[in-house]
Amino acid sequence: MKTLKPVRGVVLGIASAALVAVVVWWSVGTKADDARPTLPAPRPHLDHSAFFNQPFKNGVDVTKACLKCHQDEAKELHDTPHWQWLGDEEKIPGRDGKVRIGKKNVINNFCISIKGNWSSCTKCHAGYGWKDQDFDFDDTSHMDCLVCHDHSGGYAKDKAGWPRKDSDLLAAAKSVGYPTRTACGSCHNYGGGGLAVKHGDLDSTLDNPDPEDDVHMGKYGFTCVDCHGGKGHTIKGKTISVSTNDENGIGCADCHGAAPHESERLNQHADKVACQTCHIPTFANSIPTKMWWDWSKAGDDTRKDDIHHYLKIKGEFRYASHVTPEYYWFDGTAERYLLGDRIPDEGPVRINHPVGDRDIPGARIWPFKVHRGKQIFDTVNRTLLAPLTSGKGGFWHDFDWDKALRLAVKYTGLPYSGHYGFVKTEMYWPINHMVQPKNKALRCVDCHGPQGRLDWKALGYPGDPMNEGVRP
Amino acid sequence: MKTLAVLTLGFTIVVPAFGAEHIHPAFALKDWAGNTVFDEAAGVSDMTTCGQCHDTAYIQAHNTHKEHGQDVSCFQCHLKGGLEGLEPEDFNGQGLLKKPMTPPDCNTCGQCHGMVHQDKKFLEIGPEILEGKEVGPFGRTLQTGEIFSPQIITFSHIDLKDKYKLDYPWDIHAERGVHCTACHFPANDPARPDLTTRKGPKHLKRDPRTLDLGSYLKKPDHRFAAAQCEACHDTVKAHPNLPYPRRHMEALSCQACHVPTLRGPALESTDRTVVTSKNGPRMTFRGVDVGHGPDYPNTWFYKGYSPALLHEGGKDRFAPFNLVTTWQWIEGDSGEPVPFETVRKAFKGEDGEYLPGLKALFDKNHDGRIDSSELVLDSRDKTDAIRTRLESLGVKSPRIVGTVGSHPIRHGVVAGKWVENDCRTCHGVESRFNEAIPLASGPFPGGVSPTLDKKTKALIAGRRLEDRGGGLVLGGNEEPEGHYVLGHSRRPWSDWFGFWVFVLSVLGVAVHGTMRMLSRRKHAQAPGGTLEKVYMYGVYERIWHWTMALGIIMLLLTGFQIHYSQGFALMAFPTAVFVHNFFAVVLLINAFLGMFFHLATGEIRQFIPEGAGLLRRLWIQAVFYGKGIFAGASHPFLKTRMHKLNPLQQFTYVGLLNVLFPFQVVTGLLLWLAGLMPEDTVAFGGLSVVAPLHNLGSWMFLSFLVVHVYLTTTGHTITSNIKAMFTGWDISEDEPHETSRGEAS
Repeated sequence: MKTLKPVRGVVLGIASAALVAVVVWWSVGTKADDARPTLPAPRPHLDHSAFFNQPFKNGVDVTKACLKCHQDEAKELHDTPHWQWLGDEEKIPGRDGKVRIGKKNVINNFCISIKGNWSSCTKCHAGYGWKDQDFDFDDTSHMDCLVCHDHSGGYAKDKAGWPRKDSDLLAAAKSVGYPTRTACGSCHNYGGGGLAVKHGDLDSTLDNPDPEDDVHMGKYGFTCVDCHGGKGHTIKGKTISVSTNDENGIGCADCHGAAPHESERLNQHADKVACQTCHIPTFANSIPTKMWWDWSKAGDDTRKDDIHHYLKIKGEFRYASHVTPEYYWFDGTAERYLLGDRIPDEGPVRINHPVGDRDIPGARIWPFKVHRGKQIFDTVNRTLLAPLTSGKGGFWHDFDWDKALRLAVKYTGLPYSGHYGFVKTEMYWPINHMVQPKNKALRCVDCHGPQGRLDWKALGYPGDPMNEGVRP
Repeated sequence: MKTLAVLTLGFTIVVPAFGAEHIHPAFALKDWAGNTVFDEAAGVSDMTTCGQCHDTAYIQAHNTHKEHGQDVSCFQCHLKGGLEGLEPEDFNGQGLLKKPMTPPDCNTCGQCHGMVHQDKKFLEIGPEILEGKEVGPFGRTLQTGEIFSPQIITFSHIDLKDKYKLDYPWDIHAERGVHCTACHFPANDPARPDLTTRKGPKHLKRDPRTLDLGSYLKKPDHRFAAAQCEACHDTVKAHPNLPYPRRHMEALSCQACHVPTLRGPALESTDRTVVTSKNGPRMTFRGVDVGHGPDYPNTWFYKGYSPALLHEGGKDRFAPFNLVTTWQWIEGDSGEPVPFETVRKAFKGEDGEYLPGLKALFDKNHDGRIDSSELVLDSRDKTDAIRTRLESLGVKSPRIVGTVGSHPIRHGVVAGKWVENDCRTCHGVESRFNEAIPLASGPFPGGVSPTLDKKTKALIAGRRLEDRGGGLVLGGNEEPEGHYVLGHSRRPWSDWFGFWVFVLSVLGVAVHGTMRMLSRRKHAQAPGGTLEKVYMYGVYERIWHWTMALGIIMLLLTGFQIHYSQGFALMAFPTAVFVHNFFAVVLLINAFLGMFFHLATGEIRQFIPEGAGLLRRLWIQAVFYGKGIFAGASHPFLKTRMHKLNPLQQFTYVGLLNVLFPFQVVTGLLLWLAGLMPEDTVAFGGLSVVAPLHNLGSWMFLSFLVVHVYLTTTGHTITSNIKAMFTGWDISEDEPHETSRGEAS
């Protein structure tokens, strides 16, 4: 076998030369797309259809059936904002001490407050029967599993969160799976009392979106929970409408990395400009969102405007689509108007102004929907008030502001002087969804130069940084 | 105090281009006599008005617009909306104009220079283009197809070929906020000394001796700079992946690759001897399918066109141009072109309709209107009729001339993956250098065949105007202006000579082989001596041999891929170049190691023909191959461990290793150097000499390969030599006296 050895040498030589050639060839080829490996995998879910065969009387029965196996999940849900409508304890910028805030106790400039108006608002509570302040949050049998996990499409909620009468509970129970876009959207797309009213970047186009509606969901088939995942029913991500920080939040860089652009200059922008700023050039691109709500005009019988301009119970509105956001520095935290705070003597009341400026580390220029309006306040105590609206004797029934305010006192605990007026308020909604395909992203001249959309002075620059030579 | 004011003024105006605080003071409008006036109708003179502070005489004498015969007033560029747009509220209490004078923005430039589209509306092309004005809102767009806009092409409202793939802006500079004045600015602007093209001694990068700001504001030199790409871009650093960047930068303008396609309506020809119903000349466009809607440019199908790469003599490089053929009436004596307005009067009456007499003459199919195919001076009657009309309008002996003019392409720049990056667009047989460019299709107005104007003549040296089927085209050029383009240029002598050597080798081998096969049947193998296994080739010798073999084969394959890129689809052009260079290095190292081995071990002696009688022994070996081998004769020289090579082999290898191999190495190195140091390669004739030689050498190698492989079959058995080169063990006939055998045959 002595003769074979040299053969090996020759073969080895040729093979290694060929290998070098192949490696060279390979390296000349194209680079892989970076975010692709992080695309969500399909989530298999156990088919539950065999577990249920008897019709359910009501939602609580369904939940009880679920709890037979899912005791732990009930415990998980128990502490979450979806159940409590309160977040964790947090320190609000500009205030001492820590508080728990959430939908349960904050005020906004849409329907103002849930206090006293529970039944209408808790239609979107992940539970059954929250109709007054005595709701028992420890009764896990009143949790609503189906609102998130239904895949049948035949489940909907009504007053105080009870299933609508025409819901097919059995079909819904058999169908359960991971939350669909439609399930999340059934509440989040309808915040503020109607489709697309509140967020501006969330509406029913996201149920079955085109790439132009949202590139993640429309082109790559993302569901909400692909980004808003989380362990044990704790959903990732929050917004400054009901919270004041971004702990347990989601960042684009989680998947895309900190330097996702080919261009070095664009990556430099990422220090000071949120991804959303360029990649969501406009929001509410299909369905108009509410931009202005004037409560002071409510109660007028004579007005015959259509419901998108005027409602007797709510007042005057302005909707808009293809809205260019407003841009503010934002470090992830926000100031917060809490019930009982004295409002400033001048200017509009900022309910949740984002914190940030050029010099705050981590603050970036971020797109916002700013919802402006006029809402009721106490002219003597100078506090915003939370009137009774949908509750018994509330404004929506009797159209008497004074009565609605007096009745609300026992729920809110806020003193009411007997004198009220209307004050301009502003609410800030960071824009995160409806990310556009990359060819729709803003280009240099959309912000820089004579036709730029940014107000550089307001953002704290001496002028357009492109010309001033100030890096972002 | 005054100086300070002027300085502050200067600083604020010069530095921020946009969003600037407008600090131009309010000023009085003056008429030519210097009297203050309050509206445009009273005859505002910019010479006196602006002359209150600025040296207007100097500005007028140093003025690009003026040099090109365009009288542009200060207000046209520096006052938004012009004098016509002034409102009473633009004046202050003392009657001074307080509306700020500003640096011109791109829209201002676009009023005359072509399509600038900066607003949010989607880009459209309006019917005004049919007026065919080459100075106006469609100026350069008509001449070249350039469109200066930050908008993504996909989103335009015009019908474009592959529209939804065109995911990039019309012009990258427009998109990046690099506006007209960023590159085209007053030549003595002290804020931009490093961008000017002012000539100075070579060792100085810039001249710091600029004007002070006050003097500059008084006398801004309006001969505008056209900053070169290199003023801002480091071209070599910007192209990390481009092979031989210096060579490419030297031979090509940036736009040659960075403006691969123009999608605006660029003229191919414009016939200004006639007037269309839209009061414009008769026009044909490049890359535009006018379809059934010639009057609605927004409905045309814009396919885009690749501009002609023509040779700029001064810079000795290729740059993209559009060639436009223009026919027009000129005055016979002075040679001055007849104004188009006069031609319009020759065709149309006051009411804007064609004159009745002309209608009868032109409307051949009697459908009551003059179709576009009818509107051409293709007969003596028509030409004479218009000539008579022009004469009656006071034009002296009018006649038609046709000229082909050239327009350089500078805008519509793209970046990134949209840059022309297919090497074969230039380095292929059907290269853009060789593209025939249609100039005009008949019938020619007045039967006048167009000629090249002086500037264009200089650009197309080496290419000829050709008449192809009634149309005029500019023919291609295989070796454009002495630039040997690898993969495109051809030297027939090198290709054909090499090819025939190769064919003859193959033929020779085929004939010889056939004869061997035939003779083999007649003569049984002569009984030789005893067979013995001999360890003929050591390990290193075999590795050396096969590395050489692999290298040569790879070099031949990739070399032919480069040279004959169209007929050969083994790998991409840049890959071929890379692999070729890679194996060249491998081969070179192998050769050096091999030489060292042969010297160190003394094996080199095997290659050196020893003693006298070489010629005789060569003859003996040749006679064996030519005669003995068919008769079943044994090899005249015994192959042993110490004498592996027969005299013919010795002769061949000495030639191969000392002549052909170095020849190929040297020509190859020179090719490589030509890419790295283009200026220094000129000394030995540049690529056009070296490349064909290298090509010829490769054919020689290929021919050698054919004969070499064939001759390995002449061993003891057909495969024994090949086996030996793998295993090292050869079969040797044990014969005692090599010389006696030689003498015997």
